[in-house]
Amino acid sequence: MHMYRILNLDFRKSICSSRFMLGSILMLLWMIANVVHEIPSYERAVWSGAPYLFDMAVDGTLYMGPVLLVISTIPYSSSYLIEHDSGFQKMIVMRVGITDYCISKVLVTAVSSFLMAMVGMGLFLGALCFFRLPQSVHYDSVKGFYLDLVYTVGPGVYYVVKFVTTGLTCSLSAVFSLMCTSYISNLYMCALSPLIGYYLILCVLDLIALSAQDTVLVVLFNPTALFFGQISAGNNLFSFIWASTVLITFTVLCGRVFALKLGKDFTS
Amino acid sequence: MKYLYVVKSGFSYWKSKPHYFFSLFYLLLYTYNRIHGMVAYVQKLNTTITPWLFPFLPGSGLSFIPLVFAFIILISDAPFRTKQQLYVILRIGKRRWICGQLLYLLTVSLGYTLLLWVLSWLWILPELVWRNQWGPAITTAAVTGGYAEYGVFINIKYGVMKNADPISVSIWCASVLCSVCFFLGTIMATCNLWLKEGIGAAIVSILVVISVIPSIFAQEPGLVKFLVWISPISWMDRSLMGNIGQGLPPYGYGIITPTILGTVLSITLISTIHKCNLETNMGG
Repeated sequence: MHMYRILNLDFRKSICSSRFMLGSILMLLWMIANVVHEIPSYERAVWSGAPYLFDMAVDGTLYMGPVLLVISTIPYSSSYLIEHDSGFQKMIVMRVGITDYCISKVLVTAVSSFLMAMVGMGLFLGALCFFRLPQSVHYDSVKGFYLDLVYTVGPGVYYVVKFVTTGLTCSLSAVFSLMCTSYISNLYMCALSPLIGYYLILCVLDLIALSAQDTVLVVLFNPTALFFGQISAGNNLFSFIWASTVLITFTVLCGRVFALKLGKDFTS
Repeated sequence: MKYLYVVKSGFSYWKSKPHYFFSLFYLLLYTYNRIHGMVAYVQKLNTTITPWLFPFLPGSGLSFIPLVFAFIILISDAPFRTKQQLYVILRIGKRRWICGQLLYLLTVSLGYTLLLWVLSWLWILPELVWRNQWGPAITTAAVTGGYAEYGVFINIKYGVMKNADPISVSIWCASVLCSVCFFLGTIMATCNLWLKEGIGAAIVSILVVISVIPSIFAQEPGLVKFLVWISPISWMDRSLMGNIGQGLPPYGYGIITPTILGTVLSITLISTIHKCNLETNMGG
């Protein structure tokens, strides 16, 4: 009963809020910015095709991919910090218990970011349909990547794959930020922590590749490929399953660390 | 001496908040990731490299933005209004206190600039030679490129080194970087004192991010030129400055503008601090 009430409250606070809409609009603008500098005219857009433009939009160009990680923290990642600073958190925990509170926070943060990504991508896809762009790509140039699903299975499956991987990326970023706010009480850090974590992991993987000469680990856990591309060109099913599994696993791990930290704070 | 005490108490605040050291640690790792590939590039060219990579850092566009964000984390709590600061304000007065906070911002700006400069040497130390010239490695990289495949993620542009010696270019870049950092710090302090928490960080972040827009809309020269005049990060890119014939700002603009703006904001803060209700809402 408590869990249902706190989940209901948190979901309403996260989704029925201006921050959720702001996040969705910023994501739409981010996707447009990724496409605009490469596709200067409508004729070029028609030639490229809607799936290619969508791919360019969500994979990020000009190194703008990591901006998505910051946008995904907007809906609900700062909720713990705000409730903690205002003292509201103590009231909630007294009523529902620390476990239900933690599960609700992690779940709602992950789901609200996922939904924000869905809305942003849905709006972009709607715009592509509105401008009557064809649902086709030049097959030879995309063979081996997710884009060739447009030919082998259909554009619908391709869009589902991209929606899921990008949505899970946003969820992981948001929960990672939530976890960081339990350690660092700074709203700005809350927004930037996924970006900093992204570059930190890239640096660490580079060091591992240099020192241990191990490239398998680097390829399988490369955040750029996981978040904005494809782990293994030529094997779409493995790439999708691996990316989804890794993203969900790390989201759960971050949530667990958040819950452990909160449990420790409340017992001490 | 009272001002120095405020500066010292600002730095002592770092001990209780881990995000400062996290930001510095991130700075170390990130600059290593962006620069260390130059060692392999230089070895491939069978030459050595001189210590003048620093001026190319600010002109690296999106690669430089995360470094500025690391600085913004360092100033995001300015001015510090902890419970301990309340006693400091009672003893020395609000005006002296805010002067001390501004001095703290200046110290952090200077320290950050020096740290970036030193890090630009540190990661290329194996092949570094100390000479007052650009050297064959940097000149080759600027003219022919090809360094990106060695994992070098900074933009080595010929426009930065054109018709100038490396010392004067480096000093110019350091001056602009320090002035811009101080300017961003005064904006943060003003917003944190007078407006809602978080607005200062948002304004400063927007000022940083608008420098990216020229690279997206490069085919709109009018928009690009306008943005260079108002974007503090663009003022640090020496390849954009100095082209007065093309409607771009002169070199002096990059130093004078943030200095004047930072000074004006500082004077405004000092003269209006007595009206500000300093709430010590941060834990100390």
